[in-house]
Amino acid sequence: MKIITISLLFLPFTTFALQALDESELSNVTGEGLGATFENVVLYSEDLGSPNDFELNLFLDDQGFGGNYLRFSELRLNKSGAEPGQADSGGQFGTYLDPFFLGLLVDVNESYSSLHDHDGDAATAFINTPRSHTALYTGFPAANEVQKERSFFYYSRSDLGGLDDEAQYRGNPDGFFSSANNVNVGNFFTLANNFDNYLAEQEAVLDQATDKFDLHLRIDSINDSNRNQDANDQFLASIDLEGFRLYGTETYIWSHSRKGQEDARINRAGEIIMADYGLAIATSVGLRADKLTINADPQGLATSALSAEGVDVYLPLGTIDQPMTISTVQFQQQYRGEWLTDGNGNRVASSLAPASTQLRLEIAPLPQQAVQSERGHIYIQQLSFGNTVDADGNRIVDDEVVTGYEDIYLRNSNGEIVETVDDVQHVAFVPKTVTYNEQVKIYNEANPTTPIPYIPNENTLEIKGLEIQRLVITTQDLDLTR
Amino acid sequence: MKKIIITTVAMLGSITSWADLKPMAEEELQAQTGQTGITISAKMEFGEDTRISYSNTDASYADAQQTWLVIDKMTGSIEMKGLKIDLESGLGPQGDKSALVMTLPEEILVDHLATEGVYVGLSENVDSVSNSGQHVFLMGMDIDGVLSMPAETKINIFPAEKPVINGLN
Repeated sequence: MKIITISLLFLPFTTFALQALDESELSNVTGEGLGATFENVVLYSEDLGSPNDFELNLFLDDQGFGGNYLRFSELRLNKSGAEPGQADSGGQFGTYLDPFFLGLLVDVNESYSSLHDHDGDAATAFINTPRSHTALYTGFPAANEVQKERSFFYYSRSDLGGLDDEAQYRGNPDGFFSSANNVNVGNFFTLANNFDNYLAEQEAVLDQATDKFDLHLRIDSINDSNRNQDANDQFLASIDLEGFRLYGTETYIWSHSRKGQEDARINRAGEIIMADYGLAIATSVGLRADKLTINADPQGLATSALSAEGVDVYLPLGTIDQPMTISTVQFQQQYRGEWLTDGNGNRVASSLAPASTQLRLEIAPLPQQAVQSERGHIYIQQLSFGNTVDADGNRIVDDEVVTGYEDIYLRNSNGEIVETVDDVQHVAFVPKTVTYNEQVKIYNEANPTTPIPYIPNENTLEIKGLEIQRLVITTQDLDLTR
Repeated sequence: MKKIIITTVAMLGSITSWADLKPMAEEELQAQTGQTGITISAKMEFGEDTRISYSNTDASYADAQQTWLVIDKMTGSIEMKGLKIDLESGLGPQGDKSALVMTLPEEILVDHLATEGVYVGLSENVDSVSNSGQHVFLMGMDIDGVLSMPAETKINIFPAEKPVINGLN
């Protein structure tokens, strides 16, 4: 066994970043780091079971291949729409003006003032200013892009600012879908055009920063019930991301120095809130994808697929004001399978194991002075449960998800009906606007000289204002019995 | 003073060289005549019982005991044939960027590159008798097979100025 002991040579930027700098050191931080661009990015591995396959096994216990583990394989990444694994299927990731940043030191400030020992010298008076930290910054291309409002309902309301509620649209004009007559569309199509332009602004920025990529991954789950069976019996799911790219994705990491801000905060159980300690992380991930598919069939049968189309997810996890921290605790966990409590429902000492070192991830409550934390939003335009499309572009689905058949009245920009399509199939989790636009596409292809306008697509799923108020994750031994 | 001790046989040469990356002046570049970079074929093999132990004492911790993250019993190998490294200038939209250009090999061969376990505990050595039972298993990993990169994938690394930071407050 050869052991080389090295101090501070490995990942030099990281080691600098993980200690709190005093005021004079901060002034020496230059703000220069490394940028990276990636050209012709293609990753490919053959099917699981092939001689040259590639697999990553993640062991969930200390039994290795004899225990429970997950197997990831068939990793394929290439430019969207290209054939996987080919020399000409590579995509661009990052530019010299908007690269992938790494190894960059920045100083970040909390948004609120607090009384603290700013220079770490307990001998001098505390000052009441925002605390600052020196953080290691990592940013993906288009890290400064923020999520767009993808609900036409909310967009059109804000765009009409100044009018009273009754004058504002809440979707499409009255009777747009249901009336067999012409309808008054007002400035609906002007708003729709503005909405398109508003969304296209970000697409143009992302087009400059990075290509769209496709990603394929297979996941197997191996345990005692299927250990000796073939790979298809161990199959859990395959994941396909089509036309995806990241925006607003960045990470700050720093050592949390409380700087004597206040006495340790205590939770209701009388324990110290650990989120004021340890390594602190503020990160956010923004993902745009044309389609996300999870398939439960090892052969990839379309009827076994759950798909989400038009995906836009933006999720912050920890912020400068309210970081996610990683620290350790001496933690007494309860023996597995024992639920001994006293008359008040509290755990009794006899049910608790001796304390052991455990890892703790924690997000503290947002300080009152910080007012509002970063929020996340999720938009999914439509969901499909095994839907397929035939050669003529018609959707083929199980009867269970067909919600009915209705005529569609295709309208020009004045709201006048130009054609009626009889008995169009409508499907659950596919917005009416999507079904309408599918018919517009067919009409425009048949009438290229007199096209009619598309309408803004609504979303099947919108989750707005996601915010973590408090988070505590403590590792535990799942096999701890006596 | 920091108390970080890394026990490893990993690629120290390449990592430390990144730290010295600076743009080259025109004259310096011209002095490089005749050099077209280097091509590296390398296999990195972990000896039995190789481990990485990490501890950071600079942050404030409520738990007074020094804790270690240990990647224990690393084994296996990773091999690449034909990694090209070069310095190029005249890059970027203004032609004013110089970069370290790495052209990745067509294949990376991984032969059961594994760790028996990633642990958190009170010493840098999971087998330490004095700390027996004090390490918590987090996860283990084994990577094996051939990963292809058939498109001559290039990574360009260059000094970059501080971007406009969102702040994430």
